[in-house]
Amino acid sequence: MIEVKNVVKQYKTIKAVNDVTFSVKKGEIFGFLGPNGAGKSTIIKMLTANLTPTSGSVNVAGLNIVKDRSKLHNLIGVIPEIQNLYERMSARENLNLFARLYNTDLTKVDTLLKRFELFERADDKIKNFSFGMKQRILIARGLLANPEIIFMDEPTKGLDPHTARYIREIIKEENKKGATIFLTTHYMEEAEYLSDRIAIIDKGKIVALDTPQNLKMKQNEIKVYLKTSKNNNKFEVISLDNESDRNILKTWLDANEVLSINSNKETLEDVFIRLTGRKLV
Amino acid sequence: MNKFRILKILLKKDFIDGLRNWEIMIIVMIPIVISMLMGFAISKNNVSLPKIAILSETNQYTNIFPKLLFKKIIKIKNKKEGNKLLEKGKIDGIIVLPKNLNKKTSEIKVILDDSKASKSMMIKTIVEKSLNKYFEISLPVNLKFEKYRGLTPKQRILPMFILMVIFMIGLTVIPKSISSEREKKTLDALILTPVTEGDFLISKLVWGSLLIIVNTYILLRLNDGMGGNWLSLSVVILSAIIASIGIGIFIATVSPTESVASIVSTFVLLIMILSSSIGQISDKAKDFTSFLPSYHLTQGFQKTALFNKDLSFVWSNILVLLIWGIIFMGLSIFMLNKRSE
Repeated sequence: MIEVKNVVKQYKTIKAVNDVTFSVKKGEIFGFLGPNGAGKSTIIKMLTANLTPTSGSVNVAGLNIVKDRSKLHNLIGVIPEIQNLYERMSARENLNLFARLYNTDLTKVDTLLKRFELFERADDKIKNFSFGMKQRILIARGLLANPEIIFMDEPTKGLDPHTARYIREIIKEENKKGATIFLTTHYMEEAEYLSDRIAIIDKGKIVALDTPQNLKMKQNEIKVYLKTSKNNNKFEVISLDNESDRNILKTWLDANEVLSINSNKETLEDVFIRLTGRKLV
Repeated sequence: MNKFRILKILLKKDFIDGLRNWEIMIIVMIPIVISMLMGFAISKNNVSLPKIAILSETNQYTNIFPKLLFKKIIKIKNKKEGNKLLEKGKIDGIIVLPKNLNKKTSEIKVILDDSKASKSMMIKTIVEKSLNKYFEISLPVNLKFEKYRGLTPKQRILPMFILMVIFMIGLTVIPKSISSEREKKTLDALILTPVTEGDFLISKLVWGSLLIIVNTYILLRLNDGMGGNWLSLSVVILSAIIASIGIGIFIATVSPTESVASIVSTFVLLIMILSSSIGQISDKAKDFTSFLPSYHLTQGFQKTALFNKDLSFVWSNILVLLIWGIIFMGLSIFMLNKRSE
């Protein structure tokens, strides 16, 4: 559904995206993670035909984003990170505007307003809406054209747990209906819960790409945390992947010095931090 | 999707959003409100144009007496009707024209309201001058008087208000609207639909033009400016719209934020308004300002709206205005293309 081959995007001397290659299958939820400034937004801009790559090729829904830009609009839906709605217009006016531009039946607007539980507030101006309500309108706008691919940039950022869960369910529903989802998020649990596969980008390059389970397995380093009678109640950290560490553990166990022992598997966040050297902020 | 439909949808959006934006509405209303206040002050001074009734069996009078010189011209059927209007104070005089008007035999009668000395004087002068021109009788021409003839105080200040409307909307409302959409990223949402940046800019150009045309019409009505040469006046106004919105779009394109656009717009607007005033005061200053669009708008407007001149008198003004518009629109397109790379 999405084919990115050897894509480079260069701004003067800076390479924002450096020889990136990946593909997204039809019907997949593809998580795209990376620290700030890693090149995520640049890649999304290229995938949505808002930016032309310096070199390489980008195909979305079988269309080349440079040559077939004009045919792409009704195939993709974009839910941006910034709530770029017309604040002085009502929810209905906002959705009607985009429904007309997408040449979609206007009855779809009411259907979406009902689905997102905003039908009662349809004629209120957006500026009077809460953050969560605006986010629901933003998602409704992205779904107006019945897109085959939906790009979601931080769809649950800053939302209360109830609305965030509601939006995750919407993502699952749309995916069940057949939409391919390209998702960026800062919430690791969310990426793990929703995504079929995850790509991690850092400094303009893809540093890992696999299912969440495989990413953890591949990168996993099994550690044990233990207290011994000699270390004054402080935890010792032993890596079971390391032979010398294993030997130390064996010596302590044989000498009956171990008071308590716990094992801890790495989370996706651990994998991310290890690969990028940074935390998602 | 058809480009006309896209334009219609974007214009509807601009009108809904623009009319609810009080900052834009204040900018749009300023020239009209000032003109109304000044017009009120002037009318209190009792210097408005005379209202007359014409008793004539033909419409020949329309070729003799320019509409611009009277506040109102009413065609009456008989003298009795005219007297009634005089009694009620609805007119300041009656002009009675014979059936076959010619310079040798005709006698033209003018009935004036004695209580309105200044208006009577104006009617006498206008009638005399208009007939002189129509019959081409060579009488000594009083040039001083001729200049005063068509311009009431309201008409004298009208070019300044027209300049304000065209440049305030073109240089402040349009850049503000464009850079606000760019800053709030609503433009990003639009170009994910079949709308291109070109469609977006054209919709702003049309929206700004419609705002200017409506405001210009209101100002012309409020300030005795409805009697000019409509064809040439329209061409001058449209050329000025292209120049001012062209500069406005360029400001919006190069300004990184809405606040930077506002500062630059205000600065350019001040240059335009001040240069036009200075250019009219001194000939030396005129040399410095004569390349600016504000100068050519003022000149073109005065010639066409106030002195009834046709296109042959204003082509140079129109050309300069169009050059300004085309240069700045071209530069804006160049900058947009460069940015999208």
